[in-house]
Amino acid sequence: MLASTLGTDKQMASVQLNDRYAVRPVGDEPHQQKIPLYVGQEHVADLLLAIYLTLDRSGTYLKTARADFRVFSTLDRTPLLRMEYHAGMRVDPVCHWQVHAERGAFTHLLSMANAIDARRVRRPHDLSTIHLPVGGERFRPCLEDLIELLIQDCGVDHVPDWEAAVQEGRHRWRLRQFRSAVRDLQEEAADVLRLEGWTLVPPAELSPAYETPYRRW
Amino acid sequence: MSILVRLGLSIEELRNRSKYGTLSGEEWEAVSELEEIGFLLDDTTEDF
Repeated sequence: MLASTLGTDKQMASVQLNDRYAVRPVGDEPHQQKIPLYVGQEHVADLLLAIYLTLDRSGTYLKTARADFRVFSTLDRTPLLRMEYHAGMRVDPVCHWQVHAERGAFTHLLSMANAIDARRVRRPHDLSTIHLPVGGERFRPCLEDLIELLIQDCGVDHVPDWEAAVQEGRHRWRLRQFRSAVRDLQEEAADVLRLEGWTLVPPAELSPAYETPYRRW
Repeated sequence: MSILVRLGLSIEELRNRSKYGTLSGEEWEAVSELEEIGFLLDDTTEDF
C-alpha cells in the first residue's frame, strides 16, 4: 500500500510477545521507524504507523486492539495530525482524530469552559485535546483514508495510479468491517435480507448480538 | 529504563507532561516506544 501510493518502500516489522503483536515499520530507533512524506521532493513530514494485535474473544483470530496513525512535522518532530483507535478506550471516543492546530475563537470557547469545569476541559490553549469521534470500532477510517487525505488535501508526493491502490485497499477494509458487522448483529442482517426477498434458515444456536460497537462513541 | 534516562524524566513526569503539558519531538518518540512496550507487556493501565 505505501509503495503503490506514497512510493515509499518501507518494510514492516511484527514484534511479538506471547499472544500480542506490534506491527510497525522496521527500525531500531524511533526516527528510523517513521515513513518520510515529501512535498515537491522535499522531506516535510513523517508518518508513524503502529498497529497492535491480540487474540479475539474466541482466542482463535487476531484482532486490532489499537492502531495509531500519526503525522509529524519535520520542523520540530511534533504531531500535526493523529488518528488513534483504542478498543479499550474508557472516556475518549474509541476512534478519533486529534488535530494539532490553533484557532483563537475555539480557544476562547474552551477557556470559558475551563473556568467552569477544569476537569473536563483541561488545556483550553491546546486544540489537540479535542477528540473528534469517527465511527467507533466498526465504521472507523482506514489507513487508505489517511493516505488519500495526505495526497489530496496536503499535497504530498505520490506515485501514478495511487487512486486505484487506495480504492482497492479501502474496499478490502470496508468489506471486512461490513462482514464483522453482519456477524455482530445477525438478526438485524437477516431482517434486511428478508425484506429484500431472501429466504433464510437460522442456525440451531444463534450467536448473541454484540452491540457494544453500536452504542459507544 | 534507558528511554526515560535519555529524557531525564521519570515515567510519572512524562505522563504528567503528556497530560498537562506539551511534549517535545524527543518526548513523542519516547511515548511511541513506551506505548509499544506497554502493549506487549499488557500494561496499559496508565497509558499516555
